[in-house]
Amino acid sequence: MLEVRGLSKRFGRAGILAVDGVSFAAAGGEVFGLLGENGAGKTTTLRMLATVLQPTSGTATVNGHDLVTEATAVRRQIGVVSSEPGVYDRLTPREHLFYFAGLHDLPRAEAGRRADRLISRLGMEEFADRRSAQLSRGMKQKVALARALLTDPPVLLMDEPTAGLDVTSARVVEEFIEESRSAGKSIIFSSHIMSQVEKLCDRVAVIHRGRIVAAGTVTELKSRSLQERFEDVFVRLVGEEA
Amino acid sequence: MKRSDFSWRHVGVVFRKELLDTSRDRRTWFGMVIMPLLLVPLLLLAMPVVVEGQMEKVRQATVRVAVVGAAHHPGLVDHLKGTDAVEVVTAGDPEADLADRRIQAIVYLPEGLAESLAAEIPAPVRVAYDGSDQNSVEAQGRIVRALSAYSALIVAERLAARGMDPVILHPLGLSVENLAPPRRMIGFALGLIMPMMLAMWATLGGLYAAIDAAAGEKERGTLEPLLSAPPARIAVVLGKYFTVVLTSMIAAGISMLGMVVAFTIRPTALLGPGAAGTASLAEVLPPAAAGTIFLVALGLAGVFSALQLAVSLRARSFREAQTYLSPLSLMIVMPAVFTQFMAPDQVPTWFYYVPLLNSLMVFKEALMGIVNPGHIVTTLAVSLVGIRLTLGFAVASFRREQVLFRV
Repeated sequence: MLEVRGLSKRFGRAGILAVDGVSFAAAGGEVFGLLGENGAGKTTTLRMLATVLQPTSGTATVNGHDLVTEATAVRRQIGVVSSEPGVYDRLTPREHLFYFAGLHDLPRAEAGRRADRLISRLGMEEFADRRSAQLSRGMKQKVALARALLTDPPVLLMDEPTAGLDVTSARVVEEFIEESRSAGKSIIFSSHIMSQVEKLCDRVAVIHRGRIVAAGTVTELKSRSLQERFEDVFVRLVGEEA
Repeated sequence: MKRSDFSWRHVGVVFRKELLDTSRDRRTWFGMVIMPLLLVPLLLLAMPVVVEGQMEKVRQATVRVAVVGAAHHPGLVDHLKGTDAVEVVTAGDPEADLADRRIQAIVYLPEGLAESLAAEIPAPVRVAYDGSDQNSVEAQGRIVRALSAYSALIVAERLAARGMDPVILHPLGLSVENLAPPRRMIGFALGLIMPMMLAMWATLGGLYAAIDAAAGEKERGTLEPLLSAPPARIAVVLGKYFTVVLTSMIAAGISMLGMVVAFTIRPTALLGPGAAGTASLAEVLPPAAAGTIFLVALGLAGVFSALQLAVSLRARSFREAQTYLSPLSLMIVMPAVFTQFMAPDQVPTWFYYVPLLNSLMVFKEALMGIVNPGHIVTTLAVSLVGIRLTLGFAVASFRREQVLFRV
């Protein structure tokens, strides 16, 4: 479903290497975790996969479409959720969904049906027609989840989607990820919260200073590094690289 | 980005959303509707009334005048005392009193004035006033007129003593007449104020919409989901651009509406002194003038909307964008003030090749009833080039990662 091959990104005149030859693959029905500290390169990797940033080198295939040469086609295959809900304050959640449906060329009637379904599924009925400025962060993140699923994309890119959320709202996001996996979607999930990665991800890549330093299932990584706690695995991997 | 990725439908989707979003923003309403609707009638109606009221107050007020050397010609002092709204007072230190505004003028009569006049020898009479005080300036005028009248009386007496009729001093029966028709007088008055108003609203009316559509997207974190949606960047920019242009044009249109309202309420307010009669709105703003103003305003809005979008995108937040864009108002007001009293048919040709200056001049021409197709075409062509450049700059900005993410 998603295959990343040697993806790199350099920034600015100084040519800072934010992502350095990252490669991984995620199949349908799989949650693939990108685990790393702040500034490790997770967000830059996900932004490249979302076609918002151009890779300096390397590429990826998203549901058969090349990231570099078929960016528009890739955008039709992905749903994006980040730590910042990115919701328009003066629009209602329903208007927000209609806007993104329009950007994805969904006919209005179909957009209405999908919006209704997602509003019901995520329990947004109470606030679906209220201006978003009045909504809590958790409510806004539900709008972002609905937006990501609006076109029923096969690939979901989720960059620290529970950051800043209370426990209940974070739980909604986690359930969303689990349901999406069951629906056969390929989910790239970035986080620096070990427990969450351990709970949600089928496979994990530990990213440090722009490079993947280890990849595998959580169990594999634990056994490879002879650690019982996943946090210790991570500290050891990152420490070895430091 | 392939050309085939571009779709006008996406432009429409972005445009409709931006329009809905901006129509719910109080700041946009304030800048787009309330300010132009209030400011134009205020400048056209209230300002002249306030200024005229102030002038009238000065004209009505009695001025206090000290005469130094009054004993040198009591008759002249009596003449001053008999002058309307002039009070002759005694002052211990007249210059200090003038500085403190206790009196408004000083008349210095030289020693031996009466004798000099009797001997028909010219005598110096000095009038001192405070040029920084409006009442003192008025007093100076009244005193000079009173002294001139007294002088004329003496001349008349001298001529009579010589058996001559004083009328010989006025061989020309002078009369002054303003032949400019009311339409031209109104056009002249509008030409002083409206070009600045039109330029201001056509360029700055959409300022908040532009900031919200670029820096606002960044600040809210909505730019990333938007850019990861299928529309080509150029479609996103055009959708936003047309919203800013429309907002600016609504603001410019409302400033014109303010002008029409002011004109309808009190058409005579725009007639200068000496003009009689009035003109209809159709005479003042015929369809050709309205059409010219619309097209030129559209050109201005087109150039500045793209510029504002591009500059605003370079900011991290709404506030930062406001800081970047606030000098723009100065950039517009300065040339408007600079050209306020220039006659559009007497400025050098190069004026019509300079963006903004040309628009200000063509607005003025249209309001004054001058139709110069060469000026209109040149101005519109310059605006088209400007739109091509600034819009290109805006699209390029939306494609630059360094600008989008400040990396």
